[in-house]
Formats: sequence, C-alpha cells, structure tokens
Amino acid sequence: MLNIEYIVSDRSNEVIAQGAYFDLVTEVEIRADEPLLLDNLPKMQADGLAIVSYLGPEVASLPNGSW
Amino acid sequence: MSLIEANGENEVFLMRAGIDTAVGEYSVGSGVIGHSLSSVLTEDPRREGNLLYVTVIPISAASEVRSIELQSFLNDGVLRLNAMSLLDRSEGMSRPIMLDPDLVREELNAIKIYRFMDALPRASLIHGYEVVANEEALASQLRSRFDENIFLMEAPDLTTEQRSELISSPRRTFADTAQIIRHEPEHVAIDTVSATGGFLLLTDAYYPGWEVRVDGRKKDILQANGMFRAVYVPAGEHSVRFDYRPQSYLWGVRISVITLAILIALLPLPSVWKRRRHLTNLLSRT
Repeated sequence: MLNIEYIVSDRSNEVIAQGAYFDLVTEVEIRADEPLLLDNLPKMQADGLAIVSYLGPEVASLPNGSW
Repeated sequence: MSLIEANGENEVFLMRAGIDTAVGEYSVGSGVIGHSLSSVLTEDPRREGNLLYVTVIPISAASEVRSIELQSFLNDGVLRLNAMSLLDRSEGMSRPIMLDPDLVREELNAIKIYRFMDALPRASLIHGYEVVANEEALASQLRSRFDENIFLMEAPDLTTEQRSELISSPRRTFADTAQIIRHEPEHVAIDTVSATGGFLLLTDAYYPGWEVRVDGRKKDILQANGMFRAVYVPAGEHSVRFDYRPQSYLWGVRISVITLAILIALLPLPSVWKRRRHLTNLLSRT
C-alpha cells in the first residue's frame, strides 16, 4: 500500500534450527483451493528443504500422520 | 508439496500432522487435539502461546531446485508457513527462501535488504479507481493490487464520458508512459502518454499546499491510496506539473509586501515632520 520498494533491516527475525537458517519475516497461508508457487529460489545445490510451519486450530482433530 | 529440480526431476513430499507440523496453539488449544506435538522450533514472536514447528525434508539427489509448489489437502483450515530454507548438508550451507514471490532478499554483512519487486514506479498511469468511505475502509484494502486500482477518499470530478472510458479501458497498460522530467523538493514535472484517460499516480506524499496543472490548467489533486497524489489526465500526450505553494507561504509573502509598501510610504514622514517643525519655528520668530 505504501509502495515501498526497499527495506533495510538488521538481523532480527532470524533463527537457526536443525542446521537450517530461517528468516521469519514473511508468513503465508496455504488453503486447499490456493496453491502457492515459489520460483524465485536461491541458486544453490540442495539436498534438503527445511520448513517452519504450524496448523490452524480448526484442524486440531487431525490424527497423527494425516496430510 | 512438489519440487521441480534443474535436472527436470519432480519430487513430491507430504507434510504430516503430528510429525512435520502441528496445531500452533497446541498447549492452549481448545477441544481434542488428535495429533502429537511435532518438533518445536520456538514460540511464535507474533502470537503469544503459538508454537512454530520445524521439519527437514530430504531431497533424494542433491541438485538445484527451480521451483516449489505447495498445495493443501485440508478440507477445512489452513497450513501457515513461517519460513523455508534450502539446505546443502554436505557443505553445511543453508539459504532462506522468501515466501512472498515478489520479495527478494539480499544480505550485506550485518544488514538485510528486502526488495519488493511489485513496487510501482514513482509515477504511473492507472485506469481503475474506487472511492472509499473512510480510513477503516481503506485499511481493509491493504492487500489489494494498487497497480490496478487507486483508492480515493473523495469521488473525482469526472464527466460521464470520462467515467465510462475508465470503466471500459484496461486497468493498466504497458503502452502508457509517465516520465518524470524533473523531480525537485517543491516541483515535479511529468509527461504522460496514454491511449485512454486515466489517473496519474505520483507516489509522493499527499500534503496541503501542493498544486497541479495539466497542460497549464489548474486541476484538483486527489488523495490516492490514503497518502499519495493523483490527478486525472485525458487520453493523449500531456504535461503535468506539481508545485508546492502552501497558503502559509503565500500569506507570508503578501504580509511582507504590504509591510514593505507601508514602510516605503512612511519613509518620507520624518523629513516632512522636520520641515514642518522648521517652518513652524520660522513663523513663530516672525
């Protein structure tokens, strides 16, 4: 809305866990009818993908292992 | 979730409740929680009592990942992603992925620079508009695409033909140009070319004291998107000039000119008084 092009920030909202370096500045919601495509990825050889997430309370009844 | 790799491979992974992720408000959640607590990373700094979970999905053959598509199979509810990161465990390297496709992240020693690739240019032509009743209604449009519509606090003064042309024309076309000729603190000059009428949006602050002229004719500045300046420009080539001429400055100039004129008018008074006194003295002696 404010048409900001650049934001300069310190190293806040960063965390390292399970060998992965995370930047927690953005959050997206994935719904059944709205797939998310990410194609602006870092150029590097990768042998793993680390994900920080959580589920909304409306799916609390899901049993272990369901997807 | 599917990953498309540089070598053309397509790998599909499933994120499972209770193993890879879990309900965020696990400890304070109401009702029955059907799955286990997943591996906890940390408490969510933005939501008190909310937990974030981390999982690492192995990629079978180390390669460059070109794209990732995430699809939810939940009938109801959402999966919230807080962060993703590509790992090269053999080299001990990790680089974060931006979850907003229009956001690019660069690192420079102790600082990070985020660039929003969808930021509008400083001046652009937009053909769609909506009038919002108040600032609350405007705030509800925070996630709207401002390159298609501008949001105005007051209805613009347009003719019926201008309105119908705006409705029928595309919201934004690449044939439009809005070129900034001069940009100074108190003066902005922009030349526009467009096939149909539209709004010139200048993403400089809307502030009292600014005036705008389109081809030399004074027009009303519209308060666009809450804080920017906009003006309607008809189809064709036009010269738009924004000038900062605040009323306080104009009144200051007027008062100064009047004061100066009074001072100039009063300047001969001492010599007149002196001459009059001299004449009075002469008359009294005779």
